[in-house]
Amino acid sequence: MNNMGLKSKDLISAADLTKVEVEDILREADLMLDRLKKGRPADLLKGKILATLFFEPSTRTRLSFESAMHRLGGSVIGFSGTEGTSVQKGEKLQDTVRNIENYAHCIVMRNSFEGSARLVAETVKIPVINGGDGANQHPSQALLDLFTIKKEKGRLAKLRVALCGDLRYGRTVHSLMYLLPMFGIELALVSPKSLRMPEYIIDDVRERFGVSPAFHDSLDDVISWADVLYVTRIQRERFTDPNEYEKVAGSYFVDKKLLERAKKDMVILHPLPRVDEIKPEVDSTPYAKYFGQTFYGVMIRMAILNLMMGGKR
Amino acid sequence: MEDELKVTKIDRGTVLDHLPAGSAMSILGMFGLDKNLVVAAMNVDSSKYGKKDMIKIEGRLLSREETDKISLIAPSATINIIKSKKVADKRRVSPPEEVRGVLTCPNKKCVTNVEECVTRFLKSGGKYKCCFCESQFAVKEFSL
Repeated sequence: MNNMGLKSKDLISAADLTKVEVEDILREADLMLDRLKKGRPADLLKGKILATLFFEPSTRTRLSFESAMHRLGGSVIGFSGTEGTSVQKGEKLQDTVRNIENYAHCIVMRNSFEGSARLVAETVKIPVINGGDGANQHPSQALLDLFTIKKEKGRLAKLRVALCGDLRYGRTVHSLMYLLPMFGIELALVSPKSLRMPEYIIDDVRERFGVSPAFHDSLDDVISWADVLYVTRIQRERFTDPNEYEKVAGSYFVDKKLLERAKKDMVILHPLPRVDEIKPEVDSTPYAKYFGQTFYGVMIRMAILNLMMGGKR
Repeated sequence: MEDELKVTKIDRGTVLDHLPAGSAMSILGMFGLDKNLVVAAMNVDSSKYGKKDMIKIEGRLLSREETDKISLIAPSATINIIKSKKVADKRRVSPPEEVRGVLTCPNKKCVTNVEECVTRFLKSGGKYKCCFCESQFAVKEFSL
């Protein structure tokens, strides 16, 4: 991230970012939004190539990065899924990326193995963006969530955010845990006991920011408290007993009835895809901001790409 | 019995003592000792620990960084550095700040378990954090 004078050339984990770096990314995203609104030609990364390596399926993250790169005047190469690639022939990840660094100026990668983005960043010389590594981190999603909160609420300070759902395996909430307390945002963690936030993240956040998030096992506990409700999907495959899944998943959904007790200006965010944790009836309420997140996501990714590849400002 | 263990004195090298019984082979595996004369005694009677292992390594003076790795398996180990058949330095081990290459990440989904790379763990409180998958583990969670 050479334009910002940052230590790291890569975006691997929200835990690596300083507040100054995050503020710089948010400011850059605002500039991108401004450019877009004014209809100014965006040729900031003309001649640059982004490689999108999605070893796992992705709809939003991949298309969002590709859209961002195209809007900046750059080009995109890459794959989604490993069919037809050398990976299917047994090629090791490090060999794959050593080749790809000769084709592109930056890599965005999603891979099911945790730590894979860090390994790739240590293997190649070009900047690497983690587009999700297993259940570990998804820093660009957390940055776009933060940007959405800022735009929707007009500030970040003194907000109360409830993170709900699968906090154990949800990579976006793992990343958010490092970004939200940076700005003094108060946290509540709502999940079934079996899907609680990993203890090492709680310990790390307590040590870094001196905060101890409150734990809850019901949305009822936080609905009137929260300024932002961040809902994540509880994945069926995390449960060995289907009955247990039905029981748990059914108690973490948002509907109009629940929202009767919410603050009038509360906003609901979701990294998507949602299944049935937010009922479709909520989509038309003023609380629903999750589709707007995807728009802000493009601005954040334009900002990240421009900063990392040293484009003009 | 402890004092009666008859092993030829070494001229120059390292003696690792007070190792937990049965740990000697794991500890030997931490160091590249294929060219050194090594004597390992296992299940030796010990007045303090009941049973213990000990290792004598001829011709290799292990550094503090190296012997601190032993603390993960043998926190009560004592290290004697021998020069000219005399104890030149006697020290205990302490948990290292960073461990490279010795430990396998217990997280089966960690990329270090499927790609060829040197594992790296940083001490974080009383635990060790994998520099790749970011998970933290107590020492007892590692297969040593």
